[in-house]
Amino acid sequence: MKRIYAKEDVCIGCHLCEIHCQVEHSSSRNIIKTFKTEQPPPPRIMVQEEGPVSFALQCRHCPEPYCAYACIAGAIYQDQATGEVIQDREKCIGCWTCVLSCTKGAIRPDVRGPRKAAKCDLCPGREVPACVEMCPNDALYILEEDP
Amino acid sequence: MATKKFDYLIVGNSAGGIGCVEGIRRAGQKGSIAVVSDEDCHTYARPLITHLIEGDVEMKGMDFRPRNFYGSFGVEPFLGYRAEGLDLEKRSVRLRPTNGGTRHTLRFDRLLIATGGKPFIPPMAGLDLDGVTPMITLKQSLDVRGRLGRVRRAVVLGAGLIGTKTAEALAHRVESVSMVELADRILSPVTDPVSSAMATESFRNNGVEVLLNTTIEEVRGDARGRVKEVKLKDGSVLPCDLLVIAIGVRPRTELAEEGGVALVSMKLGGGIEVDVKMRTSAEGVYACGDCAHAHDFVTGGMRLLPLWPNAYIGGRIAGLNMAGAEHSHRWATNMNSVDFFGFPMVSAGFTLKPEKKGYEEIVRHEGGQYAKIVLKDDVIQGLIMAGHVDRAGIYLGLMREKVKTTSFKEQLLTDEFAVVHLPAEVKERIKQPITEIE
Ligand SMILES: Cc1cc2nc3c(=O)[nH]c(=O)nc-3n(C[C@H](O)[C@H](O)[C@H](O)COP(=O)(O)OP(=O)(O)OC[C@H]3O[C@@H](n4cnc5c(N)ncnc54)[C@H](O)[C@@H]3O)c2cc1C
Repeated sequence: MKRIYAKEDVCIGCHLCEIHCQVEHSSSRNIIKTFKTEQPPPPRIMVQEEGPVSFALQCRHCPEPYCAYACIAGAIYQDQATGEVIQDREKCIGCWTCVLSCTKGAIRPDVRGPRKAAKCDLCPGREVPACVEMCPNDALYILEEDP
Repeated sequence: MATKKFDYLIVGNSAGGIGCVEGIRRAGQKGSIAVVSDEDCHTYARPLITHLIEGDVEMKGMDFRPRNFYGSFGVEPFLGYRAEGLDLEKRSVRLRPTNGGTRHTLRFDRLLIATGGKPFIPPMAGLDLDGVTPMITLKQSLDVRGRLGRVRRAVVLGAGLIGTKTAEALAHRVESVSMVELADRILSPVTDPVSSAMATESFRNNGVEVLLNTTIEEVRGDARGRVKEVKLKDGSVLPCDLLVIAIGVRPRTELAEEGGVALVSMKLGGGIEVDVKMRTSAEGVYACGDCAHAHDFVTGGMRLLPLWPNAYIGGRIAGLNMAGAEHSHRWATNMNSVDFFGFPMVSAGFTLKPEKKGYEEIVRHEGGQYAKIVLKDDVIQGLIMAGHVDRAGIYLGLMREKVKTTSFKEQLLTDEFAVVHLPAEVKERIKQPITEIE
């Protein structure tokens, strides 16, 4: 299981991971268009700061995914091969039960169009997720964990 | 009549039943599984049936699991069969086909009863008229969907979870909708007066008439046996061509009762008695979901919690345990999440501060956003968020883990509140993935 972790000691809270997450999940995938001509999607990663402490947090792809167990639409499931917790955006009806279920606060409402929950999908199609690749301080890294 | 024997027999093909199948397989058990339901259809997301009326979900979106689910999980489905005659000596049930077909007898080693709920129908004349229906099955929602062209005015009796969702769906499809509620506010068990009023406003702004403190006294039909109007307690009359009865669900326990499986008293709701491992009074027989009691992690007691996550997780834990594991279901409480016409609202645990020593509530209400937390000795016991729901789950997690909020109470209701504000050791734990179901 591929999981993204943050190094608190080098994260400076610049929020670039959020920006690049938004670009990656926008329709154009172009940074200028995303923020200038489109309605940017909500970031699926969240930078949190308290005094000198800062880090980014996103879906942990929990081996026991409470969000998936709680989903009233059957829209969240665990991939049997990879262990990733995957959301089927088509099936999601935006009831926010997963938002209430995620103890990390890592699922957020996306209300740009029909209501949908948004969570980290580890950037399918990318070798390295956008947030990890674009962090200027290498504060985000990938750990291969079992499970 | 054919007799077949299964290692695991599951009655109910919904949240609880499917959770159980997935639990058994997760535990690595390869034994044979049968799933029985008197609803003759693939497993579907029951809470979405009103969306089928609204039209934002089509039949394909109703499937709770992919169409190849039974095959890929090695399950023999018996869909369109009512299970009856539970015999715990012979360890068998009889299956009666609901629309023709052969009868079967199924024998089992272990049984899960996940028979769900049945609508509470008040004793009142006129409820057998055409155009009067409960709203708890796919069939009922398809029936209403099929009538939409002929329905101009709808009345929904009851403003709980099912009533409000039905009213919202109908508001998108018919000319006028009235929601009639006996209590002094909508969604009363899962709101407080402020959040309920906010939700009511979103109904009214979207054309739904919300009538509180009243109920239907009489249902009247026309000469052809179709519903024509309802008369309310105050004497007023609402013409309607559709009446949805949504004043609650009760545990469906006939099968358990036939087998002599113990129920809790009617005073406590009358569901099947279970422990946190989802075991009933009968050896090798488990129960979960709307038909059974469940452990509430806020109150610490057992109660009815007729909610989808409780049913699924209860079923999953039953399945794990039926397969030989030892897990407890400590994930349930009164938790609700809704969105009406773009107005989101979540709540969990106590939504009103109990009038007892040690309880307090903290509130933030700004513009269209409301948040309230109920605490006891600085431990979160209840939550309401209305108009915004971002990061609600953090509170639920703290509530479940009974984390003392003393050192960060000031920050709890700020805009930025997040995992970073928690004491170091709690913060580190919450940043980690959840690896144990308990
Ligand atoms: C309109 C609506 C909206 C809802 N919205 C929400 C929501 O937003 N959030 C939420 O948490 N919950 C919601 N709920 C509640 C949720 O759907 C239930 O809590 C959940 O379905 C319970 O699952 P279950 O497996 O216990 O039983 P059920 O889903 O009731 O399934 C039980 C199944 O067993 C079958 N059965 C019963 N007895 C027998 C028998 N003897 N033989 C064969 N088959 C039998 C029944 O026909 C049924 O198919 C909603 C419910 C409705 C109706």
